[in-house]
This record gives sequence, C-alpha cells and structure tokens, in this order.
Amino acid sequence: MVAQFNRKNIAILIVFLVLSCTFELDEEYFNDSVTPVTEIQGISTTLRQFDLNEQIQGDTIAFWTEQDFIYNVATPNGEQVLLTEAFLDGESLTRTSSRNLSINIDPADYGTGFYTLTIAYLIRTGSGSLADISGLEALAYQQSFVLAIDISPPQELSVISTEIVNGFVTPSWEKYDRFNFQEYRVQKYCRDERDPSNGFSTCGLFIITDPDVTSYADSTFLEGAVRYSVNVRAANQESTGALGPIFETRISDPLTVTGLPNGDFQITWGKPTVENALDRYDLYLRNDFPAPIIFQSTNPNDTTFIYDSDDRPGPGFSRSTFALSIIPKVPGGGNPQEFQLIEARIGADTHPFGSFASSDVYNSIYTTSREKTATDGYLFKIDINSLEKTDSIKWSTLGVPANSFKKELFVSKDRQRLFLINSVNLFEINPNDLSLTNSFTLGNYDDTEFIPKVSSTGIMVYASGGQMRVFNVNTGNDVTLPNNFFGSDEDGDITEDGKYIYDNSYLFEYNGSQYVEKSRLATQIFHARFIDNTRILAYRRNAETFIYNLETDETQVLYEDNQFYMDKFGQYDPFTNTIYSLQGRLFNGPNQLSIMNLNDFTIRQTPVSFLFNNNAFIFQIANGRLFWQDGKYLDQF
Amino acid sequence: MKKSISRFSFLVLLFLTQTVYAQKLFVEFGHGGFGMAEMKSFQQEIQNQLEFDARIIENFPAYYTVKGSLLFVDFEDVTIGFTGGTMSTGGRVSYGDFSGSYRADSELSATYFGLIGEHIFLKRNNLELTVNASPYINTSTLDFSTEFIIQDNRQVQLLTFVSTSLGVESGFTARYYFGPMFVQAFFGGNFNIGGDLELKTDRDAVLIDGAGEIVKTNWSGYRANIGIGINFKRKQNEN
Repeated sequence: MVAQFNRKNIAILIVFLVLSCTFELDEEYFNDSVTPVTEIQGISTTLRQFDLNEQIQGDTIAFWTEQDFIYNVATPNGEQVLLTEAFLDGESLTRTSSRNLSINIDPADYGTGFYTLTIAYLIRTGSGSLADISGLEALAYQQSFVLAIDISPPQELSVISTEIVNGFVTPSWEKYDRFNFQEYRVQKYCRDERDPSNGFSTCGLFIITDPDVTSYADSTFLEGAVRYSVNVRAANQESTGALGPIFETRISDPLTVTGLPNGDFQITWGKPTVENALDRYDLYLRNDFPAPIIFQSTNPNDTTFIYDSDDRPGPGFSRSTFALSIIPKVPGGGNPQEFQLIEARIGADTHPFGSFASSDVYNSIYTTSREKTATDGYLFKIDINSLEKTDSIKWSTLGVPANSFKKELFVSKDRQRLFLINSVNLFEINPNDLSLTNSFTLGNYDDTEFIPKVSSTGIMVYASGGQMRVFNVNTGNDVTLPNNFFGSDEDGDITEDGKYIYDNSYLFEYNGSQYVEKSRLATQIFHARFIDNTRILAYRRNAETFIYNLETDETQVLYEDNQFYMDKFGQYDPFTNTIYSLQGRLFNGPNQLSIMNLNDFTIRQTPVSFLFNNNAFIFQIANGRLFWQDGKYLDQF
Repeated sequence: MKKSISRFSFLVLLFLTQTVYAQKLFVEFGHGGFGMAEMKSFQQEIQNQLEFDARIIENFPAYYTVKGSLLFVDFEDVTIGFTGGTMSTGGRVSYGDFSGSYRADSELSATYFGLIGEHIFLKRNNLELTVNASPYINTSTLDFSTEFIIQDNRQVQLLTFVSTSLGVESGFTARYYFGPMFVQAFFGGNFNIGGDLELKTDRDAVLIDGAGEIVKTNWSGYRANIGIGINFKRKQNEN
C-alpha cells in the first residue's frame, strides 16, 4: 500500500517537476524613449522643367509640347523619401523610391484641356522606431498643379491697321493671347510697281517671337504700295491671316533736272513719306556705264543737288540722264521694288557730237566734240591702242565759228590725210599735231548726204544741192558731175587711186582729164562702196549683196537674199574679206556670226559712226559713248 | 512543452517496467548551468545585425533540470543502472516600441539517456555518500523563431533544429534514508561535447554563424540536484 502510494505520488511529482522545469521565454524589451513623429517641418519641393532647368512658379503649368519635369523633395534633416509618385487626374503616371521624380507628359496623349497633376510623396518620420527603421513608418504629403494643355490650332488674326508710326510703316494686329504661342509671322506683300496689274506678291517676312508685340515698324519699306498679313504659329501649327489694308505712299515730287545759266544742273526730288526708313539717297549720272554716284546723303532733307557739268568726263554733253536711288535702311527680302530708281533727263535728244575718223597710218582715232555751252568745240586725237587722248585743239583755233560747224571728220582713202568740213569750209588738219595745214571754201556742202571721200590723189567727192561734186584738195578745183544725185542717205564713193567714182546709180571713170560716165548700175542698188580700186560692194534692195569687178565685169554674189540690212555704215574689210554692218547686230562674214549683241550695251539711238581699222571697229551711240570691239569705252578723253 | 512531456513519459514508463529488478529508484530536481558559448555568440550576431536597438533578454541561462535514475545491478558497494533526464534553456533578442516589436527566440531543450554507476564510499547509519558517473547520449532541439510585428502586420518564422551529442555527468551524492525512502543531494558537473544543429526538415542543413562556423549546442555546466527515491531492498524498519 505504501509502495503503491509512493509510486503514484512519485509519478505525479515527476510530471510536476518536468512541467515546471521547462524554460520559458517571457520577458521582452520595450523602448519607451522612442516617440511618434506626427509632422516634419521644413519640407520644400520644386518642380522644374527638365530642358530649361527652370523652376515652375505657381501651381499652373501651361504647355503644348512634350515636357519632361523633375520634381524634387528636400527634407530638412535629410529624412529619407520613401516614395514619390505622380498622378494625372488620379491615374498613376510614374513613381520612384527616391526624392527626385522624372515626369514626362506628352500633350498629344491628353489633348487640349485642364488636368490635375498630383505628386504624392512619403517621407520617413525619422522617429527611430522599429517601423521607421524598417521603412514602414512615413508621413504622406502631396502637392497638386493644374496642367493647362493647348494643342489646338491657332485662330486667324487680322491686321487692324497699317499706318505710319514714328516714321515707319507699321502694321498692327490683334494680340494672340493663348499660351501655345510661338511666333507672329508678318508677311509683307508689295505691289509690282513696274506692272501694277501683276498685283501684290510676297516681298518680306518678319518673325516676332514676343506675343505681346502686336505691331511691327517696317524699316524696309520706303515707297510704293504694301500690305501685310499676320500668321500665328502656335503649337507647331500656323494660321493664315487675312490680308490687311493697302498702304501706299509716293515721293511727293518726282526727280526733276533744271539747267542753270552757268551750264550746271539743279536736280531736285521729293522726300519720302516714310523718312525714318531711309538709309540714303544715291544719285547717279547714267550717261556713263557703269553709272557713277555723283551725290549721296543719308539726310532725308537733302533733296537738291547742283551738278557741275564740268565734272562730267568725256567729250560733249548734250543730254544727261540722272537717276535717284532711295535705299531703305533694311533691304526688305531682296525686293527690287524697294530699290526705287527714278530717272530724269535733261538736254536735247539730238545728234550731238562730231564724227569720228581713224587712221592706222597714224595709229589714231580722231573725233570732234562740242562744249557744253555750244559756243566752241574740240578736235581730239586718241591713240588707237591705248585709247588715251594724245592731243586736242579747239575749233576756234582753226578760225571757224563753232555754231555753224557741221563737224564732219574724215580721212583720205590712204588714211594719210585728215579733213574737217562744214557747210562752207573744208579744212585739212595735220594728223600728227592737229595743226591746220590748209582750208578751202566750198559751195553749200550738204551734211545730210554722205560723208565726203578723198582719194590718195586728193580728189574729194561730196554732195551739194542734190548733185555729186568733185573737189581737188590739192588745187581747189571744184567740178559738178553730170546727172542728178539722188539725195539723202545715199552713197557716193571714189576709189583710193581716184580712177572711179560711184554716185549711187552711175559709175564714172577718170580719163586723164575728167570723169566720164562709164556705166549705169541697177537703180535698185542701195548702198555701194569701193572695196579696192577695181571692186565695188553693193546691196540690192530686197535682194542680193554682191561684189562687182569693174575691170572684168564679173559679179560675185555674197548673199542671195536679204539676210541683213547693210545700212550706210556698213563696212567691208579687205584683209579678212568680211562685211560688217549694224542693225542691232554685227555680222562677221557670210555666216552672219553675231559677234556682239549690241543690245547688251543699251544703245539708245541709232549708231552714228562706224569706224574701221584693220580688224577692229568702233561705233558710236548718240550720247557720246564710244565702244571698241571688245566693248571697252572710249569716252575717257 | 508537449515534446518534453512525451519524452519524459517514455522514460518514466521505462523506469517503472524495471522496478521489478530495481535496487534503487530516485528522481532529482536540480539546477544546472549550460556552456552554450556558440549559441550565445550566435545570438549576439543576431543582435548585431539588427538596425534597431534590440536587447538580449535571455542568454541561455542556468535553469532547472530533472533527472531520474534506476539502479538495479548491485556489486557490493557499486550499483549500476540507467539514468535519463531533461533540461532546457533559451535565448531571446527583443525590441519593442510604440510602432511594433521584434523578437528572436531560441528555445533549446534536451533529453538524454545513459548509464549510471555509483560507488558507496561511506555508509553510516541512514547516511550514504556516493560518487557516481553517467555517460549519456543527448538529443537537443532548438526551436528558433522570429516574430516581427508592426501595427497589424505580423511576420513569424520558425525553424527547428535537432542535434545529438555525447556527454558524461559526474558528481557526489549524499543520501539519507527514512526506511526504504530516502532523500538525496547531488552536486557535480556535466561534460557535453556538443552536437551540430541540423535542420529538422533537411538534415543536410546545419546551423552556421556569420563566419561560416557550425553552431553547436553545449550543455556542459554545473549540476546541483536534490531528490527523493526508494531503495527496494531496504526494509521499512531498517535504519
């Protein structure tokens, strides 16, 4: 019984001991020094545009192109930013576990409108608590911005007015007040002043990038008619504005030239209305090519200039042409209409100058020129190679009144003797020093006919009273040939040896004592001249050009039809067997090769002289300009 | 706790079946210290790795032990029998504040079974003094659990390791009889060679420290017990 009791109790004791001897973990450590943080003071945030690195001010962001933003959260004590997330109208855009959040917004994904950009961020409290250290204890903040997106096309703008403001033509227009503005494109239209029926065409474009600027002072416009339209470029789209009103202005007074008693010229013109746009006046003398500027001024009030005609280079001065260029400060898009060229002329538009002659024997060109006062004139000698004036003599020195001098100048056929003739007198001039060697009194020389010709024997043929006359410059003997001379603009010629004379229709031969009629050529022959002592070059109206040999009675047809018009200035070059003629073109040989287009030289009048010297030629145009074969000017003497 | 009860129940039944041949049966309740140097180091590592100010609340302290012995072979003054017992200790790394709490618990328990031999070197009246030694085999269980609570969020992880080791417990016992019943006191030491802690679900995985060294249990330490028992060969009136 005792044993049973003991065993039972022992077993109970053992179980009790086992149960009570099992180690229990029941203590814990609690840190009550850590306290919650409910607010973080001094947090600052910035939203910047990535490209511009500019901080967004305010809470509204207006844009129309794809934007990259950087949102930054700065904490006062470096508290960790656990999460930064952007929402656009509540939908998550992007997120990061750092304090810098990159946000990309493409307006094309959203369209025009207003949106709310909310940026939420979590900052660790820094309390030091278990949750804080574990990154699970944070304070939440958020900031919102209004996004204004406008990618709609710009509306059309109207030009309100075009008027002069502060001395400039100034178009003004409606302001474009949407933030998607990029630039105003002020399109300028100019009227074609040379042919106004062509209307207006674009002549300038001005780009203004400030949306608050709603007018433009057009410093490129001076004269004429202009109008503007204003396009707006916004959100990479461009509207087309309607054309504004036409603005037209003219210089009040045209360019005028008045001859003064002392021979000078007073040139006046009007002041441009848009005077502030004027850069300068350029006044040209257009007698010369290229035209020199004889006056220049940047003062808009300088509208008068006195030109001393003594300043003009070259011989003779009968007609002068002036041109005024009004040049704006800023050339407008290369528009020629704004380079205003106004021309004015003065003087007689007549045959003003003396004739020309040349001699390869003396290597010289000879020419006459009348002074501007028309009371005297000059005879010039010019080196045929250098084209420099080598000598000159006044007409008055020759003892001839200038106002009656007809100033025809010619050389003998052998180019050894130089003659000057007026309606009454014939003068022989020394080709070397231009001294007077002999003079004769003629009877009614008619300068409307051909220029007299002199053979190497001293026999001169000339026209007088409708008849051909023969004058011996050695003896002074003057004989009238039989038959009528047909009159104006017809030719008369004599061979170099003096054996034959041609007077348009009749051929005379010298028989040792006098000239007798040898034959009558076809009456339809216009223009004929001797090309040597036995051959005559002739042109038959509306037919062939041919060479007729007086000795063999043979005819050589050069051109069978009227391929060119050999007027009275046509020449034949025996050295190259080439015919030269002028009718706007020069012909060289039977192939009619145009070796010079005279239109390139702005010939304003029929050439009055054609001089021949070996393989070169000179011709003259009415305003005194001489040209050499290569186009070089001959008026620098 | 349930595991400890079931293990010890087995031992109790084993003792009871041997009582037919038993000379002495006694049960000791005592206090023992445990080396556990590697476990302490392991727990220190855990503390060091934490970013917050966690504290080691328990560091495998000395704790109560229970042992039972049945001696049934008697050779003059030497008696041989079986012995077995259980012991437990533990460690805790803990932290808590207003936001939550963290703890890493290492609940370590062991059950051992072995032979016991005692030599009575003094026997006078009702008093016996003996010296005894017990080689044993030890099976340890480490329940390593972590709990991380922040507000309503609770994360728990539990890993169970087991180890087997050999050891010897030796000491002196003073025993005083009251008839066949006696009370005794034991003082001695436990020398345990420790064992690898293998993951229970994967015995190829063992617990290592941060340096890659294997963490072992070590139950070595002093032992001080008191107990009661019965000498089946002694009469009720024998003194």
